[in-house]
Amino acid sequence: MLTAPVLGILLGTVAGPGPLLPTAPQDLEQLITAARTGRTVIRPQAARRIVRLWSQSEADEQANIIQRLRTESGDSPATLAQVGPALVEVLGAFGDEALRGLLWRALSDTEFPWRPYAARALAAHPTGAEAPRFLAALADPIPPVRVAAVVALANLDQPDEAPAVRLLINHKDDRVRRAAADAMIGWGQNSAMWWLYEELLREDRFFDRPTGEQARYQAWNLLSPRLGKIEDASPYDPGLGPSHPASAASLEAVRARLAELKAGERPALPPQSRAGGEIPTELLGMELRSCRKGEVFLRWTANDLLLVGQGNPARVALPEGTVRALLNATAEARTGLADKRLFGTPGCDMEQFHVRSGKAASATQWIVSCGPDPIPDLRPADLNSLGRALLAAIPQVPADEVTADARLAQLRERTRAALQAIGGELD
Amino acid sequence: MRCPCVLYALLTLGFCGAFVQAQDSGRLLLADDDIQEVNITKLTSVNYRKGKPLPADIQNLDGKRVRIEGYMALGTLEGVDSFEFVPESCECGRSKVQHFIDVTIEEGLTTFRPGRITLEGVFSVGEKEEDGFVVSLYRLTIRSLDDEE
Repeated sequence: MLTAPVLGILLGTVAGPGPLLPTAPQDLEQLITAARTGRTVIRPQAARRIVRLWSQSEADEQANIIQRLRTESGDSPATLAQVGPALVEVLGAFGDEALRGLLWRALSDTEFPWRPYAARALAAHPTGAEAPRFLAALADPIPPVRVAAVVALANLDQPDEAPAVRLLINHKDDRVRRAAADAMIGWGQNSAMWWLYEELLREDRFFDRPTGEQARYQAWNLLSPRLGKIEDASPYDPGLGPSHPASAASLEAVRARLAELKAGERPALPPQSRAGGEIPTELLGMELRSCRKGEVFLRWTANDLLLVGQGNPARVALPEGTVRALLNATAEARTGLADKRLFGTPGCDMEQFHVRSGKAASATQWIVSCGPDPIPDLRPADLNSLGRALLAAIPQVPADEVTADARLAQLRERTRAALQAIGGELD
Repeated sequence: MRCPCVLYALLTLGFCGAFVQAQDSGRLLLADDDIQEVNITKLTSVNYRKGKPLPADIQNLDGKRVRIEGYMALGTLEGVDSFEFVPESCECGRSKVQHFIDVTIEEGLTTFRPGRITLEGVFSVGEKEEDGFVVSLYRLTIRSLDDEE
């Protein structure tokens, strides 16, 4: 690990805002070390400085930098994983076929821990020849990879691919929907603005997390530059929900602006894309985020519903008393966990259990997390018990309901796979 | 010794609804009414680039007492006097400098809490650099984690 003074001296020539001087290899070594093992917050900055160093170097120095990065990255996804996410995320910027080839191999390896980073690395500097591969990545199981694929096609400015991107505008994941809408708008299809407008109407939460508010900010960041200045009302504030009195006039002004921009009639959106209504009190929840096996968001409510997904979730009716019985059955396991709330090491893969013992109670969370390397038997026995009980409480959803809402497809199987990928076997 | 004119100004404000509270440090602060609610998603949603000025309403929070809801970052160490405060407990892929508030605890040390918490303290805005890297954009000094809600 570098000490701060040493790093300061060695980075002195590359830290300032001015152009970089051709640097000695030692400086590149320091930047690589900082990008791999420095403080988390400096890693992306160090990685971007390597790109800047390369772009401002002479041809022979550029070749040396690329050769050094090839050596650092190795020749397989397993060796590439060791350089960490910050370096992976910039490796597509050097225009080097070998590095891009390695990134593509990593992206196609479902066990590669930094797939979203590899996808973003490729998407930031796509080549026309890669368009078919980005089209295939639109169907990736991981939403961040789908988002990157959309961004890549937008960066390639290939409106011919708009139909494939448009298929994602009603995706179950709001990040994918927003990326698709943004690309469509970029290709002149202003009707997609309505999908971003719908996000402004969200007020949903996932337990205590204000998912609707977060969606409003992200959607507004994409939509507002397209609208130009609205003179007729005070500016829309995504921090205020749609039911706030101040929002009515500003949202009306946004709608009027969409009409001026020929966005067409406001479309009827499918359930997963709609802002949705009030959510019943959630008593139990499971939030699974695996870079390998995808994401699952489940909640069991006080009025015996299983909610699937975030935003406007799919609803599965459960037999009366199911959730109260589930709460009682897991009480012992929850007591056994005592005050310990985090198991494992911080990383990209995370499972979070939420439990609220009553309607008025605040929720308690337990987190199981791991980094690039799976940790055997990571989940403690008491959380295994809780996980098993929740998994067993996922009903087999009738085929017609699955047809109506794809979020319900293979729900128990997907949940089990994600749990196994993160915390290990439940049994 | 406290400046009489500051005291006068604060007492005048007291007539407007706030009340004056003496702090251990000898500073005078307006309590409760004076605290600004700040939205962590707003802070972390800014389109930041090094050297680019932050929006004026965010810059104006510098030095103010604020109340913010959010999460301790998943990588928070136990038993230290600082941690990163983030809008989501899963911060995968969000390690950029505008994506967290660097919190310093004046009394006591960290204990990881996975749920959403509310912090109150003095806010600081602006690029803080170490060794040529920006290490924080937002900072918050709180008295103690025991005060959190």
